[in-house]
Amino acid sequence: MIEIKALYLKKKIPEISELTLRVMGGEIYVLLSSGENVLHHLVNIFGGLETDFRGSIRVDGHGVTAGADRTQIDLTYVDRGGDWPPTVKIKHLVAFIKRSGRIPEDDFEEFKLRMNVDQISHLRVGDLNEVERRRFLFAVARLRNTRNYLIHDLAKGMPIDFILEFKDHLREMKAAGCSVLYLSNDVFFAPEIGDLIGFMRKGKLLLELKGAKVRRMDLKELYFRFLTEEA
Amino acid sequence: MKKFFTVFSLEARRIFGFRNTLIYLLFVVLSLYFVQTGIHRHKEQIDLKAQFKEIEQRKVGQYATFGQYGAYGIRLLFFASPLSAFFINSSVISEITAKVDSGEILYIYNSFKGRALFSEKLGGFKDFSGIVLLFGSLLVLYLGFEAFLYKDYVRLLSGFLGPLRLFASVILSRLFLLILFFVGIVLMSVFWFHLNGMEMAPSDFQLLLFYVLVAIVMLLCFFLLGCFSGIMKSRYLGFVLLILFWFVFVFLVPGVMRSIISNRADNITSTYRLELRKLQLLMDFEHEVRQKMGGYTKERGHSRAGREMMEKFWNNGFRQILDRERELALEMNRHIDFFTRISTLCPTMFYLSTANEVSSKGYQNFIAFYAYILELKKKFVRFYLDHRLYIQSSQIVPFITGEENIFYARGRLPPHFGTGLLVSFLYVLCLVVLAYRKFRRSLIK
Repeated sequence: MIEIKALYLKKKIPEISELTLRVMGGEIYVLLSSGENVLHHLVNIFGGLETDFRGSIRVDGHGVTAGADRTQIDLTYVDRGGDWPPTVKIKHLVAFIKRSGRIPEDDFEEFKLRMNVDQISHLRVGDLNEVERRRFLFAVARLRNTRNYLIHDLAKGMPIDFILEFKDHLREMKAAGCSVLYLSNDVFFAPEIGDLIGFMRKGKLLLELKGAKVRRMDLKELYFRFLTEEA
Repeated sequence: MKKFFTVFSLEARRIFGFRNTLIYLLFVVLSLYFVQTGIHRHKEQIDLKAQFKEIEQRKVGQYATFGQYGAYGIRLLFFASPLSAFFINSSVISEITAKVDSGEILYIYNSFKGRALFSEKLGGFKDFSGIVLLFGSLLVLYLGFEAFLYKDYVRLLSGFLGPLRLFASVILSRLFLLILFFVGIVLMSVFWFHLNGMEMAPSDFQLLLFYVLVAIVMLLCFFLLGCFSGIMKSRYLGFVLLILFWFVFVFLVPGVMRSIISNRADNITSTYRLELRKLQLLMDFEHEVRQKMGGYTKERGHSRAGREMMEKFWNNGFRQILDRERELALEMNRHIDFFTRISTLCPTMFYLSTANEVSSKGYQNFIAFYAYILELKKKFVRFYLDHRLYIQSSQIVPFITGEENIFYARGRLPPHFGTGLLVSFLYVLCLVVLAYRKFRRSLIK
């Protein structure tokens, strides 16, 4: 379970104001915000890199603070960022993940099959296209087999087959009782995956709706109300 | 430890990619080429030494009187240690010769006649130690720059290991590989050195180890500066910073420090003034001889009074002339001490100063050579006086019976070596802390 209580972060202006939300086990919470900064700040706070905040974040009861023992925090963070060294070979990365992740052999074999590792292992990261790279990234994240996930807009700009596969994964994760906090600014994709959808504007959570309800609403209107810069 | 080896294997594969391996090979080839050049130059020096000895012996046979011998005098050759093959172009002094005669002037010179005019000029990078500074620094700057350049990749790895463990593992892995690579090049060069029939005394080998230590510490500083540049959020800014660091520490700082040293050296007594003072001492003696004996002739010189006058000059005037020279040497020594002291403040300057002294062609060896010349001059003048005034043999006996006219320079460590090493280590430590702080901040999106 991911629990955020009265989170407040001020840089030059208040970036996050009194944010409170809870993601239960087996639930996907999509937090929408027009500003990328808010999402980045959240990622940094979860990663223990941003310390200058008030309020609390707890993952399965463990507080996320700068000095917290990260190994106690059962959370995996997945980002879509693609700034990777192009010369690193997939097989070397896979070897690193296997050795450093304390991953059970069965899970690793499953990962290899799912990712077709034997076929792409000779490739360099620079040879992978964006879809393959994000698939690899997500598969790596799944390997860690944690109960909580923080995903930053992984499906953005991806083709339909990737999105379908991604949704399958999310369903599996839900069935396994995982909590997923999905950070995005895509109001059209959010109801497709989210059980709960939060709308943030200027660092404040203005509205929290069930996914089923959002699906019945006019998404364009929601977009113009919450997610455009002029909103 | 297991996690370290996990990162180590990943980093080793990144570092030894195809393109990087080509760069390393180029570096190895260049290093060996310049070692070979150094060996060739040293062998030339060995030939020159044999030629010098033979000609000096033959010259003595040409003199008809001791008066001629005293006027033409003897020449001394500065012979560098075999270790200088690694530092042939970056050392301070080149092939220098000195002339010792019965006169008051002491000649220490570097000829520009004949082939000497076309020899390589000093102070460049065209030797093993120069290549290590010029290309080695650039190479390690790049290796450091590349370490944390790809931010998303670093964030992914950091998710597995945590920032501190990742930072330490990447830095230690790269440093270990860097040291291994550099030590490998040095060992190859030493092997090449021996393959060419050159011999290295155990003390020279020890000095080479100290040089390697200083070079590694300097390369560590460059590596960490590279890390610092690579961690910058803007890759463009990081690259500009990398080039700037290279330019500043390889060219600008040594250039500025040399300029300071050169300007400060203006305070050292000029040689013209020194020659004038010595001439005055000699002329005072001549004046006294003229007053007391009515001028110097061979007969008067061989008389008791003449001998007494000469002995008086030997005990007073000549000693004062030598003292003037020693004062100059002392002034130079103080200046060298200042130079080595400020060299400890910058790792590249400390490296250059160490390479200089280890090469045996540095400032300290020059001072030792200077002292040796003065000692030999004293002996030669005594020898001359004895043969001219007392022995009076018609046969010219050579003053040099062995290799006294060859000064065998030996490599040394510069003064304040320990301080320099400590300061460089402190730089490394500070750079590690700064780079880690920057690294932590760079993980923030």
